Amino acid sequence: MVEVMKCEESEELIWIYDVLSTADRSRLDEHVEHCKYCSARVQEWQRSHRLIQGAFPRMVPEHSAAFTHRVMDAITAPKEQRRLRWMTPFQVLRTAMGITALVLVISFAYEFLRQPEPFAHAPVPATDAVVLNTSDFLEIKMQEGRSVGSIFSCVKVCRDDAASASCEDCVKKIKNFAL
Amino acid sequence: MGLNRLSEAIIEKAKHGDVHAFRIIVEEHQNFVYSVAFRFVNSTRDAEDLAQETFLRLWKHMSRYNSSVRLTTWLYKIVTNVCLDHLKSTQHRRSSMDVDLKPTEQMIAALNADQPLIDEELRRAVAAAAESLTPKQKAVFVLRDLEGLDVSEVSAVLRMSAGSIKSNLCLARKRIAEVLTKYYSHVNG
Repeated sequence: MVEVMKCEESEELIWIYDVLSTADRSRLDEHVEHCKYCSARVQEWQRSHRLIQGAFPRMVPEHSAAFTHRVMDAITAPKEQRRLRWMTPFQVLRTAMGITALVLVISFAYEFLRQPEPFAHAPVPATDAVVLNTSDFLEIKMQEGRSVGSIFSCVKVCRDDAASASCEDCVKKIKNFAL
Repeated sequence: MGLNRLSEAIIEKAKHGDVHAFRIIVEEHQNFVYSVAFRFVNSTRDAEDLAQETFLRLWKHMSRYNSSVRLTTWLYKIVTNVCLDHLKSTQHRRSSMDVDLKPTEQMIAALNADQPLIDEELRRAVAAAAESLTPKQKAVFVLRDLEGLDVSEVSAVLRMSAGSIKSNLCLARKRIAEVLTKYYSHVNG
């Protein structure tokens, strides 16, 4: 059994009457036949539709020959020239910003993915200048049988004592490494 | 239309880069392409630019043209895409536009006489109403109501489903009829 159409549904379908399926159109026709309100809407739409179609006549270019020349000139023009002519200043700016952003992204990605170089001590200059090399200092002290803790505790003691020259370790350390 | 008069040999030559053959195609189809573009943008200057861009794209992709498809169908696709790109890029400028045109005495007389109106004022009013449509609604409206393509052709040109075409067409027609109703109310009021 075919479902009876209501005005709410009919009001929507009236607008697209000409593109409805055969079944929907039959249902709408049946409804409109018995509904004065929707029948008036259909007539209103048909009238509007005629007006709309009459309101947009086919236009032609004002100077057809000039138009043809313009198109053919553009086709035979160099590619770069043609592309630039169609780019507005905004499009040029947008393209430039896009290229800049791309370069930045590639640079960051390159830096991020690059393997870090192994750390190397700076070479000691062959002069009389005193250079503190902490790791060498500690290594030597450890070889002398002193723990790292004792070295620093000794330094602590000596700083408190005005007569630091009495501390052998400190004297040696100062002589050797000019601390 | 023009396509039937164009020999396949000319199209074939243009496909292989023959500029003279392509000129014949331009001469044969320029009125049609310009007319479609004008219906989209309602401006002679923009319509000329868009028609030119359409032929440039046609020339660029001419080698890919499949002879089993009518050239006019292909041109419909290209000119519609060119116009949609243009409408999307200028949409923000038109979004705030409100249609508020009052009918002239001449129009009211014509409406009362119930004669078919091909009046400049009405054309401007309907065109202004069409300006307030979204690009999709406008494309469906132009292709179906003004160019007279059937739903399957519109679907092929716009790559939209039949359901989507119908809903967009419904919204477009409602919006434009709204403007026409304003005229009727002025006449009756």
